[in-house]
Amino acid sequence: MNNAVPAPPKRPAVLLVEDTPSLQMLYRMVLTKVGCPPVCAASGAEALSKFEKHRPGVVLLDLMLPDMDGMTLLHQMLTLAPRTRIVVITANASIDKAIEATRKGAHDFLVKPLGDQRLVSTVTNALNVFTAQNRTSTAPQGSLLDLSPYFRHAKSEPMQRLCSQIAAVARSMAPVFILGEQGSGKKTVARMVHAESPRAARPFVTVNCALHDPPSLEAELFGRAKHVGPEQGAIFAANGGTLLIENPQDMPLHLQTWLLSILQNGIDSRSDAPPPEPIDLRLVCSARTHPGDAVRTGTLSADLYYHMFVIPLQVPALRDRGDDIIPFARNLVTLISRQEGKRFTGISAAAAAHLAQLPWPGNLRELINVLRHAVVLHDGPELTQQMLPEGLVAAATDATRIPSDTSALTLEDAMAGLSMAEIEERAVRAAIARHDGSIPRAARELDIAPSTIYRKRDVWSKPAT
Amino acid sequence: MYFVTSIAMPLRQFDTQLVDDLLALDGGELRDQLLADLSRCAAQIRENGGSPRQDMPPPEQIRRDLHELRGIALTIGATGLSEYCLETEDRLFHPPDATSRLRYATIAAACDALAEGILARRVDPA
Repeated sequence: MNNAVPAPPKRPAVLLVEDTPSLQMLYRMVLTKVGCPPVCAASGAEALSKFEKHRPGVVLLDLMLPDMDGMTLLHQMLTLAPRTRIVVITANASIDKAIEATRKGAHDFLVKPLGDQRLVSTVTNALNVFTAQNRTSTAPQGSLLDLSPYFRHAKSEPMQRLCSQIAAVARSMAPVFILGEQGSGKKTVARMVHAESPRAARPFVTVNCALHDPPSLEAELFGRAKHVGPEQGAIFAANGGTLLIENPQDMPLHLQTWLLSILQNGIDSRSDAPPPEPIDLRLVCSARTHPGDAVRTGTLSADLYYHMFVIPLQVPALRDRGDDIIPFARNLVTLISRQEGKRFTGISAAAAAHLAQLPWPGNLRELINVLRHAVVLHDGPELTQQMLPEGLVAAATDATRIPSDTSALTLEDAMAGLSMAEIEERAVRAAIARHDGSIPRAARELDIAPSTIYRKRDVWSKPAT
Repeated sequence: MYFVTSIAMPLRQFDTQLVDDLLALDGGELRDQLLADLSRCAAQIRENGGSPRQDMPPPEQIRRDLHELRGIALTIGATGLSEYCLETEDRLFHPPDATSRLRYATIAAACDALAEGILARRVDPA
């Protein structure tokens, strides 16, 4: 029997880069007293060497060093370990430089003279954010695969631009609107915005408006009982953190009004009572199409649109990510293989070339499904072209093809022998599938009320008597 | 405030309470290091700023010395010296004039005065 007491979780190291010996000694003493003894460096070269050796979670960096510009060092450290929280130290007349550093990825800045409390609280906050980030990045986060590391290491120009934008907006409180095709990784981007923000240690809550009928969406967002207490709703669960609203244009207009009222005034307009504590959340929304279209068609209120559409982020389609597809697929194969208990270690050149030329209308979601299919049915160690699902090229091509006259004939053939009710059910189900499960959007396409679909769905789900 | 004679008054002042609190942190080690740093800064500024005009080192070198001294001055509440260093930093990238050497000499003397004032503070055991 093993009686060993498990070691407490190791606290991330703190690296202090300060070239003036008395100041280095002073900061070291203050941090040591509160249980964060730092590793110290007095020059850029020494700092880089200790950074690589200790991989600190937090770096306190004086911007003026004898052998290197602090800004260059900041860039090098973030390139080596992008999650590192770097707090720059500057004298009072160099605040512009400190602000420039935060634009370039610094977590925060401290102005000399550093008060003990400010120094300790800044370092503690940075350590908490770093720890929370690592926790969220290693946790499943509600999906089997955390794709954010692959996004961060992407080489294609659109993905690098997206990651720079994420780093820039994460530190702000401004609402973000993420646009992108189905399966392109909008939720991953939202998680990255949250994980890189000062709210990383707080909740990240998601609500997909397309998946709920109006009563269940109301409960999901605001809580189940109107007058019992709002704690159950996503808005209140996300307090202090980030709320991701997917497909906000599918939210009924009266819920949009309530949401806006709470976001703007902290008042729940259903009861005119303020919530028990102030609502402080970062709003992130996502959709496949521009929300301005929904404003024009009257399904999204202009007021809510202007509240949420502040910083747009466009997630590129997989086919626009150039050479990123292959390293991405290779990493995914290894990851999926581990999940499935298989021995895959890579992809053959022929399979890689084949994957690179596909249009991927379902984007990452489709790529993951294709790779999982191959991994589950085969043993590896190399994923070959023969292991890919049959008809992959044809299926992918068909998905992007514009329907022609022959499709009408196919539809007629498909309808042969079906009753009117069965044809209707198939047509409605197909419309829902085309819109990623969004009933309001399917209803718009079919030119019927969403409530009609909800009613019919209830009937279809009941066993035939 | 602690006063040392012989140089302009604002440059020789520091926050005595702040310095006492700092010195109480470790019982003497930090004071020795502060004195060593002030002495080194004074020596560098005398050497680099005292050269004949044509032999002056690159402004970046003097700027580094002044910046380092400014960090120490801010930490001990010597705001007069800190501001004077900043003014001097701002003038660095103009051609040196007749007052430049005087400025550096004043700063070096202020360092000596501050060191003297810090040395006079009583250090309680940590």
